[in-house]
Amino acid sequence: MSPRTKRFKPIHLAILMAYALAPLAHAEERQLSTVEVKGAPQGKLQAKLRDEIIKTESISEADIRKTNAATLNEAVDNNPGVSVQTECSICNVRNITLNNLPGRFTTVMIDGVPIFSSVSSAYGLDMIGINGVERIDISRGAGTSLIAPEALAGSVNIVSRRPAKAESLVEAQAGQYGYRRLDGFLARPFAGGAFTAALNVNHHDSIDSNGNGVGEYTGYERTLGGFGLFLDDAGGFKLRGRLDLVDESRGGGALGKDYGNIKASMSGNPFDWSAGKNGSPSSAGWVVPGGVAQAGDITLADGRILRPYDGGRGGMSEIIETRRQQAILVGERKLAGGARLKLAFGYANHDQDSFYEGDYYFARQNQHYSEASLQNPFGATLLTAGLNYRYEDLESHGRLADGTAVNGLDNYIYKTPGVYVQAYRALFEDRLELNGSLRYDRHNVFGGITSPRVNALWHHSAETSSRFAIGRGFRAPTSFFEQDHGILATTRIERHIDNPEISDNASYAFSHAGDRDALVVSVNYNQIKNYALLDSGATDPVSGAPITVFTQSSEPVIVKGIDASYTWRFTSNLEGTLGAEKFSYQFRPGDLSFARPEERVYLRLDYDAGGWDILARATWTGPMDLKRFYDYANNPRYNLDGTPKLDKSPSYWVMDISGRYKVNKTASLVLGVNNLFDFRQTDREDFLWVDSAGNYDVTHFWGPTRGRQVYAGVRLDL
Amino acid sequence: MFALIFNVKVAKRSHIILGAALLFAANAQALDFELPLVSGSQFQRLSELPPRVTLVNFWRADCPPCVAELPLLVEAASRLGFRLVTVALQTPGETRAHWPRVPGDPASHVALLGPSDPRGLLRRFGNASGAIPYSAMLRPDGSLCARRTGEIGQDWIAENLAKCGT
Repeated sequence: MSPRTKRFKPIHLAILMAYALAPLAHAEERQLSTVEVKGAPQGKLQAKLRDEIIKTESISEADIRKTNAATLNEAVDNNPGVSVQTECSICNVRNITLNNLPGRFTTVMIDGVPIFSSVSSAYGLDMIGINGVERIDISRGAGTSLIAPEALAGSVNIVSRRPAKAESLVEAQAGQYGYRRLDGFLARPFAGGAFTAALNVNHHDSIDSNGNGVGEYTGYERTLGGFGLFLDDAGGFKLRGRLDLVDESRGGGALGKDYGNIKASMSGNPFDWSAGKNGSPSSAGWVVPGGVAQAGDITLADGRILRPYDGGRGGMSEIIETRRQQAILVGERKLAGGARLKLAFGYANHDQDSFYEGDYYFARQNQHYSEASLQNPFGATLLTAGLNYRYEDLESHGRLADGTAVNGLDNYIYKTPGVYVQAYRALFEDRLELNGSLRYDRHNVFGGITSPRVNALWHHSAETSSRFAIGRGFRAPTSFFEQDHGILATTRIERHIDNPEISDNASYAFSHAGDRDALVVSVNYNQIKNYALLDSGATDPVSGAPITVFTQSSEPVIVKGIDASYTWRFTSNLEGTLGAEKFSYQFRPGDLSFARPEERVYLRLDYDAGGWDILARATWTGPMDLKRFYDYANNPRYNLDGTPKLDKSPSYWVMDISGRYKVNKTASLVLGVNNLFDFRQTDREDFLWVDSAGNYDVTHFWGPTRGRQVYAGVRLDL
Repeated sequence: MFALIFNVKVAKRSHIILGAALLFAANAQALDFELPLVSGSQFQRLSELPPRVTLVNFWRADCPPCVAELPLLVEAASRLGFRLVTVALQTPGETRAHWPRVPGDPASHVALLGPSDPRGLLRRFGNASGAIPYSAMLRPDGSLCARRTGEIGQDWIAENLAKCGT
């Protein structure tokens, strides 16, 4: 909450350590008897379907490099059934949505350890660096992760790469909108292990496409540092450990990085509300669509009511500073008789110091995770039994713009010990593989919860297989602004939450892996009961003060979908992929806060020859039923000129091209363009909207926030 | 995620059994594939190569034992007169970075790029677990004669050449 001062931060220490320790490591290659083929040999549209009983799509390191992704969000976006949704035009909360379910139902893990929760999932997914990653595994559906039952939509797991040889990499990029990026990665194998250090520095300016002075793409300054340690034999355990450090400042709304001045500016009108599509008739403010004036409103010559804006730069700005430290340690040991013991630990501390349109909010979240499991064959059945314990708390304090102190508004402590058992067996000469699991959790608020799961894999032939899965997951809802950060402008939260959110999921996937082609088709059904809702527009019946009501929907949210992708290799150097998805949604009006498309189509071409490695991909997003998703019937939305918002969004294409050219063994050039066709939502409709009473919000989303962006860079493999 | 780890482990075990079943099936018929050449853009069908004892080796550049055995296999193919077919399970760029020029005599070494999703091909050749390096020796009629997961040595080659060459 206090203005930031320059100081020596943990991340600086981390960077110094990385380079100080590097010369100590021995460049000795690891000797292994075999390597399991996990990563995809080629990047392609549909992430690879890994050969496991649970449908798991993998994005390989090569594919991450091709897409020029710097963070987890950028790496997983634009795959069938997987997308990244932005939920706020002036702070750019981004979620990973699986099967088009809300992002809070996606559990992110690092090396199998779930260490992201309510606070860190709001902005934190932009802060997960992917240097030194072997692959990213995505499993869609409730219960796909035995150790993370809260993954109602599925899980995303980042798998660290254990380096086999010494690596020293430096990459620098620059582009439009102040885009600057510096990556460093160092790997040093030594006898019996390896050490890695990674650094990612990212800078991006805010973008104001429609010229009203309010940005739609939030600027940021982000530094990510990380260390990895791999020990092949530490007392019989194969260990992998990670330490990650995050330092980010992001600011949206008013342009510029003079955050101190922005926060201090809380009166006057520095914006032009008449700019852009359906801008107001006056630069001083916006039309009140309902026509009911309040004190200070102006009547225009045509009789319409204008609400003048007087909140200064700060009144339309959100500035968030984040510090995060997380550590993960996973150990596995082979025991006699084919048994395996696994121990895993995780810890994260996440601080968010933020300014929300005049309100100050500081949150600190701690998480611990510990797990012990034993896998043992019993005859033809392989049994796994384990325990895990998850701890998560949130402590916040702040003050409203009028100076009212708000302490502990959304505090909570969740403690969840759990026990689980899983059995696997192959039948019919191994053509059928079955896997059943059951876990029981004892949540300190919601009590005992049982989550079953059954998976089946049928091999039609060596090339084709079918997977069936049915499962249940649960999630303890949190009152952090994962749903609505309007809660920060209220004085208390009234809780009417008696049950956890429960998801039932069924899915089927068919896959074919031929010599020249690959096909994956999946069908899924998801039903979420006790869907949690936050209403920050309520008032205390006695005092009249603004309060938030935290409640649950009386009807389930049901999302059904089918997606498919087909890849064909034209030549040794050229591969093309066509993908599509279709989803349908059933929900009570207003329950799903953000619009989603029913259809998407994905095209992708990969070219790899003569030193060039080029990826071109295009995504067509079908119309979204804005009227239904944004519940116009009960809460109509208007443009700043008082005209109604679109009932349906237009369909649009977004095409990205990225290329790398290997000049020699050491140097590569990078050149790319994002959003080639320059499609921007602001050309059709602003992200800003007002209700009939003239209150504004920044959450009218259906299209890209950033237009065409060209970038270039150089990579040195030293 | 534990479920995934579990399944990897389980898969390794079950794939031993499954691999045996696949091997039995593979023994009975000629194995085939159509894959692109590392040099050039043409595709090569295995069955269109002249009948000859063939060692098919699956590898990746980030697999130390794979990289260690490749020069030995190339040399042995030339010296002992069998055909070596290497299948790279990685991107064309990664393969060409490792092999700017394909080593060995083109008559004894055919270098190919694996499919974008190699699971089907590996299973067809009796490798259900997906572990590499993996080598399969085929008789002149294309049927599977011997296979091995892990590095192979001169003794293994010599022993199986004698067995598969008839």
